[in-house]
Amino acid sequence: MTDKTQKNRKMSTRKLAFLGLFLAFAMILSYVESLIPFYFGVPGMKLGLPNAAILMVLYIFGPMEALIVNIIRVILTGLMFTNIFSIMFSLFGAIFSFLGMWLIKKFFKPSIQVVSVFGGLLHNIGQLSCAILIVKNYLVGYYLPVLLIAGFLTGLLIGIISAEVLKRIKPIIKNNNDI
Amino acid sequence: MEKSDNNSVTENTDFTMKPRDTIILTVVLVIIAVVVLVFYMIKQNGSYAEITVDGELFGTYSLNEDQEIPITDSDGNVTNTAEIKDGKIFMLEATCPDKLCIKQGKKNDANSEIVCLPNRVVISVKSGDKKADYDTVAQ
Repeated sequence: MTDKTQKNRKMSTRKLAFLGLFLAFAMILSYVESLIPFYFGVPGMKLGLPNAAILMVLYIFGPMEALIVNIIRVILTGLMFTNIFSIMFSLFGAIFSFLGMWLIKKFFKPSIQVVSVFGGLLHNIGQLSCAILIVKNYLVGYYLPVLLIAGFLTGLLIGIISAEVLKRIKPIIKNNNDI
Repeated sequence: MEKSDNNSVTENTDFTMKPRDTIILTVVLVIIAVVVLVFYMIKQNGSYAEITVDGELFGTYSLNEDQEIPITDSDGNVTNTAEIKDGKIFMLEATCPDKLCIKQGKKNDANSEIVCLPNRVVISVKSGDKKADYDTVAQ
């Protein structure tokens, strides 16, 4: 019994370290994303690079860990690079897309690429909904087609990248118990 | 011991796409195509622009006459300047830091918009000719 709790504690320390690493990874991706000009006349459109890190946490550790990393990521990068207004805005998109990805993963169990596509789509839909709520004008929905196409493409791209990375790092993180 | 650590690993051992995933993606793509098509079909040219600040109507302006419109906030400060030229409306100047509203370019499709979120200014192009001219006078 004591042996088991010790083992669990050892795992949780490992986990904590890796979650911190993924949080840093997600924040760097947020910063890199802000450097890449990706703007085609539609507000709320993003490449979604940090989602790659969140997807990896979701697939390696689980939904709760991914949600926590996601929320901390949005708040920290928001405080460093933007303002409170943007934090609220991106938090809405981030949580909305995360819940969508988690539910899709839980109930349909598709591959990570499909989960990522839904993440991209829902992120854009979430931000659009937030924009509609803030400016109280339903015509913002005019951007929906562009946002859907962009969300699909970026989601697929991020999904493929995450899959390739996970193939290589997941065995290392999960099975290496003798550290 | 090792099994209890790996309980979440079993459902997705490799990360390649299965035929089922391709089908799901195709269905999603078809749904998106339908939405885009519907949006494209209901698109038409607008005749007047409606400007709202913080959700409240600031004024309506006909797209047929060239003009410059200073947009003020509730304190009376000019936050944005819109211009109508050749039947199209665009943001000329803005006090917001990102200038995204200026980058949104010229608009003349019905239901298209220029949004300046920091200043909460929305310019929406509308079709039909109701009361566009009267409100220009009232402004």
